[in-house]
Amino acid sequence: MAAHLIPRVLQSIAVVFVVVSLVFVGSRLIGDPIEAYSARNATQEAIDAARDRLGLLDPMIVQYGNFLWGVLRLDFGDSIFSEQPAWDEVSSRLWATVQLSLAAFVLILAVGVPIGVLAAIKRGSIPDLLARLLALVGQAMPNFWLGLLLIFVFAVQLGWLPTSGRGGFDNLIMPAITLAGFGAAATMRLTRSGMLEVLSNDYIRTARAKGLANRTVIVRHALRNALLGLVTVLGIMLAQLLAGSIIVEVVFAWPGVGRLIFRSISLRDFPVIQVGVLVIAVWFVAINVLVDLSYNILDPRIRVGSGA
Amino acid sequence: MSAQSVRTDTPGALISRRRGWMSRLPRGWPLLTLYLAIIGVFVVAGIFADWIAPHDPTDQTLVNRLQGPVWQEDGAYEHILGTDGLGRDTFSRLIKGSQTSLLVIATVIPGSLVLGTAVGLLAGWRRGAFDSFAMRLVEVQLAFPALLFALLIAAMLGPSLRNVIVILIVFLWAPYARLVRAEALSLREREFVVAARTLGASDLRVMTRHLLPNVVNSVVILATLNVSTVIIAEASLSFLGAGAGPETISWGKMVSEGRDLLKIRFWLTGFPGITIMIVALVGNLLGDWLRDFLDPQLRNVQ
Amino acid sequence: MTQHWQQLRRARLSRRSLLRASARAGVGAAGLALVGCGDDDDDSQQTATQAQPQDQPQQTQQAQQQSTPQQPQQAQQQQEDQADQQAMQQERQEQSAAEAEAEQQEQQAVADDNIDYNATAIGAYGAFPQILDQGSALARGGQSASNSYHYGAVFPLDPFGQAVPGGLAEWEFVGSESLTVTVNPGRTFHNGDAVTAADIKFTIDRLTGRADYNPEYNSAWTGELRWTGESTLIDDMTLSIAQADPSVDAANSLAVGGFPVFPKSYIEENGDEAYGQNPISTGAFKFVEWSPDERIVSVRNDDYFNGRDYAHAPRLAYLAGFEARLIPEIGARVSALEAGEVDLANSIPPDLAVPLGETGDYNVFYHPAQRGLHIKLPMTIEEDPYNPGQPNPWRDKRVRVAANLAVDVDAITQNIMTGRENYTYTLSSGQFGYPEELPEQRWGYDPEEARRLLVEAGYEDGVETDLIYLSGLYTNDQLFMEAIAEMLREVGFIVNLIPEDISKFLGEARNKELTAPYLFPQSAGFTSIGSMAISVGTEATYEHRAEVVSDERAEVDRLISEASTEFDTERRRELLSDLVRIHYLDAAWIFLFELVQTHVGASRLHWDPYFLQPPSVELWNLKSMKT
Repeated sequence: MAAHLIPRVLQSIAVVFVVVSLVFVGSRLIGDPIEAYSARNATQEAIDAARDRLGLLDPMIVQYGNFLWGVLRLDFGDSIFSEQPAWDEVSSRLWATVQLSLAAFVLILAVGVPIGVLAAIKRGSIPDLLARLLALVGQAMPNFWLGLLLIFVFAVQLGWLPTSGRGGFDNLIMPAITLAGFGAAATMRLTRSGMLEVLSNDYIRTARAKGLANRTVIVRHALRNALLGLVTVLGIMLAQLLAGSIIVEVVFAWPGVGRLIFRSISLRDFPVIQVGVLVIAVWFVAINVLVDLSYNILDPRIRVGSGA
Repeated sequence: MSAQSVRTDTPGALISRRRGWMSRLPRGWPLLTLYLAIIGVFVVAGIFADWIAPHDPTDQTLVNRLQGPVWQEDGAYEHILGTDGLGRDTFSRLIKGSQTSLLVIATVIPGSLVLGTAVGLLAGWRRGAFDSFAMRLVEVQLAFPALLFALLIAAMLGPSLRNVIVILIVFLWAPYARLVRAEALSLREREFVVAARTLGASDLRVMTRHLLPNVVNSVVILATLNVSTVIIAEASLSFLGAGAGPETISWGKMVSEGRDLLKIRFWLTGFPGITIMIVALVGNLLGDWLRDFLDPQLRNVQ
Repeated sequence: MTQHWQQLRRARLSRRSLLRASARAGVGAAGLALVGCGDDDDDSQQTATQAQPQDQPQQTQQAQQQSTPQQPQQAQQQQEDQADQQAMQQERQEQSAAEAEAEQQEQQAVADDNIDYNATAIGAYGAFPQILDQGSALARGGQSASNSYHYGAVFPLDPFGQAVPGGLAEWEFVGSESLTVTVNPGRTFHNGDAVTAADIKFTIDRLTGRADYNPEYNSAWTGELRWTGESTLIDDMTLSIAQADPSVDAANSLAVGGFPVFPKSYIEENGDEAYGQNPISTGAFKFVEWSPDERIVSVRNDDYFNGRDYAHAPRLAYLAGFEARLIPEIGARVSALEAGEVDLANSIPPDLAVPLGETGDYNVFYHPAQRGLHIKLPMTIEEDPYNPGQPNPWRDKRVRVAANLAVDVDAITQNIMTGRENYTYTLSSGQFGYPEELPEQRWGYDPEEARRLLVEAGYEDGVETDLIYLSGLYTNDQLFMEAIAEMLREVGFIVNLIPEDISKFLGEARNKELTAPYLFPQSAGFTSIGSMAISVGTEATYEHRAEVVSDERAEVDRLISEASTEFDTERRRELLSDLVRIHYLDAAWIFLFELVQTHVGASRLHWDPYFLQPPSVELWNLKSMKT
């Protein structure tokens, strides 16, 4: 297993490296905030001095080197606006975003998979039709619109849930639904098709022929194999939820990393942009590695094949 | 955009048993006609927007602003779907907006398709260094938060439709590359490819004459399914202020502009929102249908 | 044109209640006798007196200089009486409705025992600062409303936004060489430390980059404090501030809304960074805690030295506590208000606010936002950016006039905005120095003439131009900018509307890199001349390029520099009037309107604005009624 893992991790580190390098370039190209947020009659010397303190007068390659050296030491500099360490700015909001992403992911699993399985078993029935319709609508709806509609209906008209902000469990419900909407619909469709494919396979027919109960067949054989095919996609979904939460965070005033990066871009607060994107990239590749690992564990054939 | 690039399949398996040429029509062909009719309306509205629209979509009449649609009390036949915050005709703007969506779809999908297919073919056929490089690139692209990148670009260059198109191409080529590469990898071992190779066909010839025709089906399916991704991504970018510039009328921008007034003027976001949904929905349904029709493996699923 | 703010009932009533308050405080009782009589003047005279109120602080200053302590108050009262008188005149135009409301309001004002002094409130804001240090330029950018109430300035302000002595400190001008500030005894910071002259010195030094502990402090107030030279401690409570660059705005610059007074020892011990997270000053509310991007929690400063009977602002608050919440989406802010999660939704477009007010369950608060909006025209650029080699069309006055004639400002304010916005002639009517006869020469709405002028100027094929604005900064800005762009297109301009984000814009503007017309606010936080110097004239900070291009512009520049150091009030008013007249008639900008802000509060919240032009909802003045 380790033989498989090490190159995979190295590759992932390379991916993260490329992503943060791209962000470094991107956040240098959008300019710095010094001019915009200097005192009204600040002299050019004062502005240059401020730039110098941030290392912005160095040649680009030196800045890049400093940046990478900082990344290695986990020192990302201070936010230009809050003057707090950029890492603290991100990490203090990270849990909010992770919480939201995990809640959405749980929803995706809890809604997408069972309904997908049910739809496959009852193929062609009314529930199947409804499930497919739901999935199609879910995938065709922009999530900011879904969020606004949810607020309008459940917070304003019915008064069941708080409109925005972060606090108790009830604050989490609507943002999580909004974030999960697309993924749940996709999972539903995927589970359904995966199940159908597995159910048509020879070994299922054999199992049925052997006289195993229908339920046992579905749970022990079909579902297991269908889920195996789902793991990769679900993994990518979980990985992308973190980055995809910006819109949901804006709509629901959720104090997370997505909104922090969004605002930092408009303020040109590049240390924060860099850390934020780094965190998202690390999250993404880490989950991908985990998905690979779980795939190895779940699928005996691969386990044997890899000689672990 | 991110979570939405995950595509799925539904093996509708709508093909009936073989019974002559008529039977090759899929079971759902009346539905197919409906889908195509909707797409047709969308395309015609997009191309001939300037002739079809009852009003100039940029024409403002401030005194008539925020009129409801015709079936509401304050509605009038003059503006059947009402007017927006500047008294512009919503119906005409929807029609003009379909032009923008059409333009985005007609550039982004072929653009990402060609780029992704070329990379995928080359990677799958040549393998080796280019392959690993391309696949790492795909991974980088997936690991990169596309929305954030789009915001960076908009911050740099200002919002414009051209930037939206470029960003979407950059972030949608990867699924094609992965798909085509996988298929090319399995095709390269097949007899007819090996035979062509032994007969001395050039790389280019093998790729275009032998591999390409065999991946077209999958690519077309993916492209059809991408229609909804593109439309929703454009709307999301507009929502965050990184979409098309103020001169461009787009559905996503209409939803975004009307969102503050959702409570009192639901239809301002309702019409473009529902339009986005219908087009995205039909795109997905058509993609599903195409998959069932074109993908031979799934025909067996019954 | 008929929509002068002075006609609005709320402002009128607030002025009345102010007089009532000062009567209670035992000042100017004689002046009150004037209220309610002498309202027979005709309209033109009305306008003539309108300009006077602004005048008052300068008279106060001068009176102070002559050290006749009784005089300023008298002068002030007289002015206020005139203002009220004038308000009464206008009242006749909308008598019955106004009267009914006036009575209602009076009842409210009398029924002070209905106020719940233990109530707290939650307000939703669209933006938060990144740090809570109001002195720092990094906290700027339209978000300061959410925490400016932590800060009290060195001097209080009167309703016209002009400094008056008292409160924290007294002032005395020593000729035009220096300003002596004497801190009143018993004034304390939120942490209980006494305020001394050393703190004032530290404040000024910090804000001008002269403080030893951190000379690199990025101050937001250097422009305002440009006049200051070295400041010297005379004794514990007295400070002498040299006027390096004598300015009529000297005292005002220490009183302007949100001006922070810093505790010297606290900042020197804890540093700037800690201060930005935990601000201590002298405002009506004490900071308790915050979580960035979420909430800022504050409690009333119960030991506030400006009691409720104090005549000026700010004073002891009515609310026992206040929590600011960040809710960026306008729709979500309104939803939160309707769901009862917040009590006050700030910056709500009138389309949403008015229906809410009509339900009777909410109070809608309107106030002019101290911002005269206009579009700056790039006169100083030589070449047409769209046709290199061709002269810049904006240098042709006919093109500028055409642009002004093309925009139907009243249609915009009546339909898109609240309908309460004043047209702005650089200054709005009522501001000090406003030339009263100017409305007769207003560039009206005349698209035909605009088209003709463009053709006459040789632009049959139109004038192509970008039009830049900061998207999302002002209420409905996208709407009214699109309306303006379309109106310009109607007469033959070829307009590319460009929304820019604030960081990019500010950087380009201060580097004078912009070559296109752009929307810009003229902030009226100071005396008229003070705000003018920032935005008008070749050397203005946010002007396209520093280049004098015509006799008119040279004259404008000359008048600005002369007026900023003219201590004679009448003379300064004349200079200012000339300046505005020349600037306006030169069609140097596309003149728009003075923005009116709209906020919606729960029905239990009441607010009679103290200021004529409050920068935001005056939290110290916000009352929660018993239910």
